[in-house]
Amino acid sequence: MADRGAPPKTRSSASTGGWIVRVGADWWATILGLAITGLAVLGALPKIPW
Amino acid sequence: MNAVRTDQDRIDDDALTGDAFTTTRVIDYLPGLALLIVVGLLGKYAEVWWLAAAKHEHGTVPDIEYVLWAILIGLVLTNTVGLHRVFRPGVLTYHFWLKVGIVALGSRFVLGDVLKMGATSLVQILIDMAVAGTIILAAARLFGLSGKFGSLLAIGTSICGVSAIVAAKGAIRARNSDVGHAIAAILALGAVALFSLPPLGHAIGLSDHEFGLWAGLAVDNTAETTATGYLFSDEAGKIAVLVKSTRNALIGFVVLGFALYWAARGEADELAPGARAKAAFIWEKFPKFVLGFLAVSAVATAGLLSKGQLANVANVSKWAFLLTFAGVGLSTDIRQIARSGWRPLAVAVIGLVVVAAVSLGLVLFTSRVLHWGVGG
Repeated sequence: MADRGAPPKTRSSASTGGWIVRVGADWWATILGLAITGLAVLGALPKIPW
Repeated sequence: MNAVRTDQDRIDDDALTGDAFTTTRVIDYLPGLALLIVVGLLGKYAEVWWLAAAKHEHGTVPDIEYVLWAILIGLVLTNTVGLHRVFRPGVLTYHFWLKVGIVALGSRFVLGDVLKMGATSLVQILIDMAVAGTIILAAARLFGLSGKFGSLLAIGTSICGVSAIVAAKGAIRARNSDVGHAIAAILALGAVALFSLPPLGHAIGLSDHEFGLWAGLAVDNTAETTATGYLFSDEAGKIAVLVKSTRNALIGFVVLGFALYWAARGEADELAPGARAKAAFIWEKFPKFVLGFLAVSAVATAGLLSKGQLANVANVSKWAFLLTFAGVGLSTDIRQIARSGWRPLAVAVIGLVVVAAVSLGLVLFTSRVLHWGVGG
């Protein structure tokens, strides 16, 4: 599941420079996971039912 | 070859290559994301309705887990009415939700156990990779596939399925058609493993820990590995994700090995000389979300989370995995897989059988003879 980094140059995002795509799913997943954990550490994460 | 490629062509390619973000416009993701949520919720509540209906009729039915419901509903939708292109970008974000789920799952592990299990499973992974890789390369030659096609199948089967194949594509200068066929074969085998390993595990009498290890070692693609583990039990799913993440962390090393081999034969680009360039190559291929998983595990181990908040983070992981399972079903197009032809599939089948057999032997030996394992 390695992050494959920047998408192929043929993609339209290459010209429009989408920073979401450039950062990549690996880092976004890490950022989101850590943000959720940070909220939990602060006791600010609302109850998540399952 | 057609010179003009449409956005849809690219998204179709992404469906195979495993990119989570296929467009820069956020609005493009919304329909598919909504579909993931609907299919995931249907899967979750189908389990409840199924059992309630059986109870109402005073009958006994097998407990079909939400994991299987979510995959099956997605699978049926895609292979009957089809998946309209408007849903594609959002559905493909399941790769992202998988990684979010893995990072959040770190909260359910003590860091010491992660390191201990990572180290013990590393030994099993290396043995598995060596045996499986050798047999797949030999089988590919036997079936008349090109050396690079064989390399792609060996990389995909022994390491990390689609991601490893994509990571190797540029490094060994593989043909696009070979990459597409290798990925299709790996995806087909992932689906086979998903439905066959859990009943086999129950039939053999594997414990949750043993099955989690087996799934983590034997199933190629991380999404399918996760689903296979959770189909057996929550605990098995947890272990499967940990073992698979250890496998994923090795992508860079294995791809580097194949890249150096093909470069030495003059059939791939030379890597820059020096250890620094090779370290950069390995880092580029390294799955960074594994660092997030370790960081969350460290936070949980340090006791910074209350019991209630630990449960909340674990539930975030479950919801993220639910979207992943829905995405696995929705993006499994049987017709597309069938187009790869029988020879790559035959080699991949040999690969799956070899990997499953070798890894099962390793799991049973290390677990029941050497008594390796967390807490064991």
